[in-house]
Amino acid sequence: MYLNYLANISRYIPELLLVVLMVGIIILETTYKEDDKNKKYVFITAFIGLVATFVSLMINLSGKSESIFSGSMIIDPFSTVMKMVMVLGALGCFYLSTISSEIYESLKTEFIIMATGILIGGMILASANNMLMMYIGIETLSIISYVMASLKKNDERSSEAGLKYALYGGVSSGIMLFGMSHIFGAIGTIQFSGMAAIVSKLSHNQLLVLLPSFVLFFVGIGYKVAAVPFHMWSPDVYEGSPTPVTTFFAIVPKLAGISALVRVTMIFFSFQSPLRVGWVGLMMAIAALTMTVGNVTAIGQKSVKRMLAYSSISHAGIMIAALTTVNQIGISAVVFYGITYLFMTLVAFYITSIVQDNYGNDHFERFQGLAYRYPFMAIMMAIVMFSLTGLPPLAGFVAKFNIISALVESRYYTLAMVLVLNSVVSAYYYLKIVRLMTLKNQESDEEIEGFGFLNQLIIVSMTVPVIVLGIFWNGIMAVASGAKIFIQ
Amino acid sequence: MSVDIFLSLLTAAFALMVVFSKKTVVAAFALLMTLLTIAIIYFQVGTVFLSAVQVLVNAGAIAILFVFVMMLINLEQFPNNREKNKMKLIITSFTVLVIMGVLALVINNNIEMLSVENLTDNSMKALFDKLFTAYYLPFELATMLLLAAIVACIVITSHEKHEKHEKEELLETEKNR
Repeated sequence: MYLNYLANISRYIPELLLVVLMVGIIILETTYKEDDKNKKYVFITAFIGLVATFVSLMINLSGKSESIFSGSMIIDPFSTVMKMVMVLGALGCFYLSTISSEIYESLKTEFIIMATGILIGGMILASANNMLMMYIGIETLSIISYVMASLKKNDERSSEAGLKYALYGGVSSGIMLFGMSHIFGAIGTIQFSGMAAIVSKLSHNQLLVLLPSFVLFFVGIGYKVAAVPFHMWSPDVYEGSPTPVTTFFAIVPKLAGISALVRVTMIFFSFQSPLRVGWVGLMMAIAALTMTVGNVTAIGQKSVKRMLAYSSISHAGIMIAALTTVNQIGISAVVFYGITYLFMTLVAFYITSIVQDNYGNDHFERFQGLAYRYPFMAIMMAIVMFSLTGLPPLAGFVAKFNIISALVESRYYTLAMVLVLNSVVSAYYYLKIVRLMTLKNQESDEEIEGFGFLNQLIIVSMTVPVIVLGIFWNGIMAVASGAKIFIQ
Repeated sequence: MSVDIFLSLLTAAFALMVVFSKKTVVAAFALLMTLLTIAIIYFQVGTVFLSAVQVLVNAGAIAILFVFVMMLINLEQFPNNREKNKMKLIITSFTVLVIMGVLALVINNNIEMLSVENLTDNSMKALFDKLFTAYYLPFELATMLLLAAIVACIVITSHEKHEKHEKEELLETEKNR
């Protein structure tokens, strides 16, 4: 028994590496004197640690799917691919945190420690196979996020963001625990597969009793991905937090929540039952609402960061829409969307962060005439904005096309139509930036410090996948369609 | 039986002390004692696990939290709003009546009390056997979460660094000018 338990560690190396990395950075930080400015060894260690995690995830990807630690975790291609996307996102945020002046010099190591903690939480959530692991994953994501949101301690909005996040998070995780305890009380096991086996045998009336519990259960995850009735915290938190933290929030917790949602949906609702009808109906309504509310509210925003926050809400809605198909095609579409979303979000936030560092705020006007001073960066920003809108031949188009085709195949025509109409609406605010960059005169001639050669190179290299995936999507699509859910 | 009655009376006495004591610290202490005596009652009827959880969670965590909050906010600045008025009297008497009614119902109908035999459990061993075998991973990951949370606590509370940030920001604003 004990030996079996320990033998599972060989499949759990990525998470262990991250734990070692976190502890290692805490120890490394203590070796610096109090007023040391340049803590470059911390960043080198973090970089190497994340790359090693990525490599070990790739090794895991080729291994066979199995459930480990007496069924509490699942290692399957789906969770591994999602974890790889999260690690890449964290890597991008770490570099952004080193060049951003929004995080105090003395808190940069702490940012990396806490971000690594959140990343571990996301990885737990992506492969959680029982309710206990899922709860621990969500709490690891949340509790550290509250502090990360208020990292700019002297800024009022940042403190407000942290407090709001903590209050909303506490309430929603309480509601989720309530739903979980209902389900456990009714079914008598916390293991997802065991629960699914019992759920499939229940009669209609018994299932109807369970439906409210599942709705409560959804609240916790829905809050993490900022699905619409629970999205109120997200714009304030995104705007108040320092930009690297916002970037991190837009990628890691969101994708972790989506992957948990995918697993729950696939395990409980892959067979026909009234519960499935209820759940899919709920998901459809939430997806449509999330897309629409996110897009429509994004139109009136003045701050680019806040606009990106609302647009990330609508992107979460699109990913939830693909879930309603409850089949492998939908899941592959979600995985592909997650991969493209990662690159698009990173580039958009990088450029916004650099512009914001220079001018002190991130209003739309700051982008005026960027094309005359930094034509290359303006082109990259334009490409990403076109891709976020979903125009061909960019990656965003392929990702959205996949989801629409999955929806059409399941005959959810209304939802597909809502998705397309929302793309049209989103064009307004995405292309507004392109218009300001190219058609308006510049405000001043001063150089933007952040656009050095290295940073430009990194931004370009992150934009390349957005273009390449729009034309040669076969390779990544093969990975995405290989990302199967394993149920045990 | 006499022990039971003694414990019940002790609990009631401490509970009344929570309500009627003028000093908040005394009230918090009485609350702690109430929770502890309830834990002893649980132990007395044989539910060892429940009693342990009561001591750990209610007496250990929640009562201490009360004391911490009292230390953080200076309660003496708030005026004592314990003046008498009619509404309070009505509500109080209503509550007392309801309690008395329930008590009368219980005594009259001879509703079966909890029997000690049914509740006797030895679940502590079973619980911790599970915790250190089948659920060892969640247990360990919780420690990881606590480690990260400690770093987070240091980040939001450290004072020295706070002053340094102010200096940094001052320098930055001067630079921008």
